[in-house]
Parts: sequence; C-alpha cells; structure tokens
Amino acid sequence: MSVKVKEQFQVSPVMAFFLIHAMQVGIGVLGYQQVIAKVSGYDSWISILLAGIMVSILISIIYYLLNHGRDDVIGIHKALFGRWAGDTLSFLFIIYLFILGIVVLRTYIEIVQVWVFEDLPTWVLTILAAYFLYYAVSGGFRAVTGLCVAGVFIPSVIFFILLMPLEYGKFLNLLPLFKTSFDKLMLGARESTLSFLGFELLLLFYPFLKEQRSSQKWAQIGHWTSVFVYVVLMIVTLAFFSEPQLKMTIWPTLTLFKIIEFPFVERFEYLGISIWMVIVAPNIAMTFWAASRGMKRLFPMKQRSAVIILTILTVVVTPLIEDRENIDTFNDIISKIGFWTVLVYIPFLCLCQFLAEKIRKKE
Amino acid sequence: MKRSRAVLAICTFFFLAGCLQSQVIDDISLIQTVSFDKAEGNKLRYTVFYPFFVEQGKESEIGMEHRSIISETPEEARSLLNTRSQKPLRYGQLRVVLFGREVAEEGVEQYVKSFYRNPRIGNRVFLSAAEGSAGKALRFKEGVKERIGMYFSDLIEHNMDFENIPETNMHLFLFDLYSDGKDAFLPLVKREDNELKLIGLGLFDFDKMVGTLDMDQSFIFKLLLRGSDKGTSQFAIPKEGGRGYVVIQNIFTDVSYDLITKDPVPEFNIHLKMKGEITDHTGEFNLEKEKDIKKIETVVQDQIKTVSKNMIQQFKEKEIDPLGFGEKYRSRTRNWKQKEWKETIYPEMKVNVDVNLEILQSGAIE
Repeated sequence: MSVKVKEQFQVSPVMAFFLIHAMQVGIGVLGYQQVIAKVSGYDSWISILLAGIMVSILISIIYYLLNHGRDDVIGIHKALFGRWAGDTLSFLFIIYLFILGIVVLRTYIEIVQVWVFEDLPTWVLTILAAYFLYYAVSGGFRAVTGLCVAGVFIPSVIFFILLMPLEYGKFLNLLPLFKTSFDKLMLGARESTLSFLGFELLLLFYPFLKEQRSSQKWAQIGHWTSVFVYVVLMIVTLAFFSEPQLKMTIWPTLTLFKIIEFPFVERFEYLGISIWMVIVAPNIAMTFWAASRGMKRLFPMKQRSAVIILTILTVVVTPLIEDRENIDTFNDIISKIGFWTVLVYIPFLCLCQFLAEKIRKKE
Repeated sequence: MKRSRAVLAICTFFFLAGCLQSQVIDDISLIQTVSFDKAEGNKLRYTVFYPFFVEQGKESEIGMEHRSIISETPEEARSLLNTRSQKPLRYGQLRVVLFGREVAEEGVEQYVKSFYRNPRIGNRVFLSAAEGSAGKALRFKEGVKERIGMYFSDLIEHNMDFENIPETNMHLFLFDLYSDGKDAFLPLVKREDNELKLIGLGLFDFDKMVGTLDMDQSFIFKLLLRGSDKGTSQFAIPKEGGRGYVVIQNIFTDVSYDLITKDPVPEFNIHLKMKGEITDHTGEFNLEKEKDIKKIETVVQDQIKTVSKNMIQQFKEKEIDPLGFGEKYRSRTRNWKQKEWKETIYPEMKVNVDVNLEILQSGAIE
C-alpha cells in the first residue's frame, strides 16, 4: 500500500543535501565538544570521524530499507508487522520526533535565558516560536525545505567567523595523535553520534523526493558536510581550550564566540545566539512537519489539524520543562532513544525487510 | 481570515515585547574595574569602580565613583553594593580585575571562575595582580581618578601590544591555569607617586602567585613565550673605562623549542632568532663600524642568554612552568603523567638557550 506523493509537492534530489545537513547541524553544535572531550580528550576529533563513518553506513542502510520498501517508515511498519503492531511502532516514532522538536526548542530558549535575557519567561519565546512554526509547517513540505536551505546558507558565514578564535589556538594540544585508548575513542564516537541525529527523518520525507534512489548521493554529501563542520569546529575548540577548561565549559562554541571582537561589535556571542535561531528553526520545523505527516498517515485527519494539535501541545508542554536539570534529563533521554533507534532499531528493521523479501520470493 | 491572522501576529509580538524588563544604559552603572583584597576573617574586601555622568552642569563631564564592601563571593558583593548605589550595578563593561597581593598568594581560582561563569562578562577582560593592596592602588585623588576605568585597561593593552608585557586576558589565564603542562602569569602593577605603574609579571603556581619578574625579565620572557615583534630593552655594554648603554628595540623575534633527547632527562634547545634596531645609545659607539655593531650583538646575545637561563632556573626552583615546557614535552610523549613530570622530570630537565641577534638599523643619524 505504498503512497504516491504528487509531483507538485515533491522536491528535487539535491534538496536531500540541505535537509540532511540542516537537520544534523542544530542546537547540539553549541555544546557537543564538552560531552565528547569528557570521554576522549584531545583526540575527540577522531571520535567524530569514526561516528561520521558509522552514520554514513546507517544512511546507506536507511536508503536500502526505503528503496526496497518503496514507502515511508509508516508504510513499511505496516507491511512488515501488520496493522496493529506496525501502527503502534509508528506512533512511538512520531512521539519521539515531537519530543525531539520540543527538547530542541527548550534547549534553545534555555541558552537565550542564560546568555541574553535572564528574566525572560519560557512561554514568551515558546509562543513566538510556535506561531512561526505553525506558519512554516502549514506551508507544507516544500516550505519546510525552503527553510532548511535558508538555514544552511545564512549561517554559513558563522562557520568562517568561528575560525577566528584560532588567534589563541595551540595546536600543540592535539599532539601526539591517538594518545587516547581505542575503547575510549569508540565511547567518544558513541557520544558524537548524537550530534549527527536528525538524519532519521529521512524515514518520513523519503517519498517527497524526486528520483529517490539517486538522492542518496546528495544525502551522503550533506552528511559529510556536517562531519566536516563538526571536525573542524572540534579542532578549533581543542586548540583553543586546555583540557580541564573545556571540560567545565557547558557551551564551548558560545565561549568561542565570546573571544571574537569586531570593531562594530564587542561581544559577538549575542549576535551568534540570535543567528542560531536560523539554524534551530528548520530543525524544529522539520520534526514538527514529520510528526504531523505521520499523524496524518496514521489517523483519519488532515495534516493541518495535526499541526494545530502539535502547536498547542508545544505551547503547553515546553514551559513545563523548567530548570537546567530537567532540560538535561530530557536531552539525555531523547538522545539515548535516538541513539538506540538509529543504531539498533533501523538495522533491525532493515534486516526484517531483507528477510521478508527472501520469504516472499520463495513463495 | 488572512487579515485577522496578521493582526493577531502583530499583537502577539507587541504584547510579548513588554514581558521583559529593559535596562536602559542611562539608568545603570557599568562597573569597569574590580579589585579584591583580604579583609578580616575569611572575607574579602571588594571594591568596584564605575563611571557616572553628571546630569546637570557641564555637559559630557564624567566622574568616577568607587564603593567597597566586605563579602565572601563577588556576586554577593555586587548585590550588597547595589543596596548602596544610586543605580543598579552591572558587569557588562568590566575591563580589569585587580587582585591584591595577599589574595593572589592565597589563590584566585574561585574568583576567576565566578567571572568565567557569568555570561555577561567578556573573555577578554584583563586580570592583574597588585604589589600590595589592590583597592588602595586604584584610589586616586581628583584629576587622575576620573579616568582610572579606561586608563587601567588601556595601560595594560598598549603595553601588551607594543611593549614588554606578553599577551594576556582572562581566557589565556584560564587556559594556562588549567593546562597540565603550563603555569599562568599576570601583569603586576604598583602604585607609585599617585600613578599606576606596570612593574612586571606575577607568576602563578596553579592559582597562587609565587614569584615575580621585573620589566626587563618580562621583555625576555615575552620573547621566549611566543616570539614577538614588540618590546624595548636597555643593555649595558662594557667599554674601556666604564660601560655604555644601548637601547634595542625588538623588530621581529622567532623562537623555536627543540626537544633533542628524552632519555635520561629531557633536554631542550631554545633558538631565539632576533632582529633588532638600536634606537638609542650613550655615545661611546660608532654605529658605522662593523666591529662595534658586532661587539654590541655579541654582548647583548650573551646577556639575553644569561637572563634566560637564570629565569628558567628560577622557574625550576619555584616548581613553576610559565613557558610551557610541559606542553611541549607532552606533545612528544605517549605516556604523559602530569605528576611525574612536575615532581621528577621538570626539575631535572636541561635547557640550552641559543640567541642570534641581528641588528638591522640604527636610526636616521650616524
């Protein structure tokens, strides 16, 4: 029962680049260095490369699954596990996506609260964001893709600005290479995988790509661009901080921003945080779009009403996550779920698909 | 439908904008300088300096106020100070933090951490140590007082950019403080005859100040630390019947560290390649003569060499490593253990200094 998406709603395969890259690079970039460096120290950038290879394989697996299933994950679930079990799994996946969106939004608001407006109540930015998200998501997949394209191009300047702290860089820190033991590097790679999460949305937007098979090339390029950004930024960070200093800094990227000074702006981090909204918005919009799309496929409802329900839920739920500890717990839980989903569940699904095909052939 | 939605959107933005407390720049006092001193018990005397602008009377007249308070933590101090100040005090424009000698000797980590934790404070803030009391060093009479906020940070900045003080700020201090192969330093100031004066560097063992360098040592320290293209120093040249003096301005210096052997003890060769200009001398030398220039070069080379060696010896005796030999050693070894390095390897380490001075010019007259 595969769905066919009308061509007017589809996007060209090149867009897979922007979709994957924009989803991977998000709020995590502000603080991923600390988490990884806590495990693999000055060799963290190697961990990221390892994770990059792993995720690249996972993307291939997802493409195998989707190419053979000829449908999005909801259809594949139904085909493999039957109606009830399949729909339950899909529903869980949708809940995961929705919570992911909320956690990203809340984390961004937290950063604004800590760094810019300490007395800003959470619900203010939530309402503003919800309004914007509703507007973007109700524009359909093509609008969200557009947002992703903007979310890649506009902040790309920041990437070059982030090279400026190299003024204080000490590459001596990185030497000797491979001084961290292999198992620690792998543990670091595990932490790094979290930075690459987001590509699993491919499971839902796949039918919206034209020439789906050939889009894998672009998806992979998008992924490797993310790897490049993460590795370069990691190297800058490692050269900039001494190890214990890095381990106590929650948002190393923002601290990097702090040292940057222009004649017209003395404290660049305020600008950086504002521009980061452009990076975060497509992230949240994509998860909401995917969640609403899933709801439409599961329940007899229009996507627009699904979006309205999600928006209202966001406005209610987000301000309930209150302090640093809560946000941290949520981030932890959601990244663990994400990790097991992509690393275990997706290969498992792929295996099921493979076996199902074998059996069908025999019959 | 469309219009009502637009109206709703505009209203949302309008009303939500009112949810924040705004802080108008005219209605807050921006602290520019903070100083720490010991007080009775385990407490600190904490002094802040901030400018105020005269509301009536002469236009663009600026005054400087200071307030001091005794407290345990900087943030608490700020909130206590707020109970006594006309306008709310904010840290957004903080330029310099000055630690009194006693505080510096007891350890500054927790205070620096408190500034690092605060996102309102930039990472380019200058930290410095004072010879004696920090609060007193900054309390000046009318006339000088007004300018002390910017004056102090400019003083450090231009000395760093053009003279003998090595590059420093809060980020670099924290980097060195927490680095396992390097120790930190801060510029050292002193009050002399109603003037604030840089007198050298304070050297830290982790977060405690354990030694100092004077300005001439600081010149060489700066060269050894990263190489530099700034700084001036005077050297005495022995001459028949007394000594002459030459002033050499550093034009460009390149420094390289070679670890030539690791066993049984590490041995470093430091190559200092220096290009300089004679900007002044006491008159005994004929700068046209190749021989005199050669002589000056040799003598100055030897002096820099001796000072460097003594300085490094002094570091070893105090068990500090502000030049970062540890970092260099760490990058060449696979089994780096900080404790072992600090306790057994570093004091045994050998360092050879090799200076190569080339005098390029000697001004516009013979």
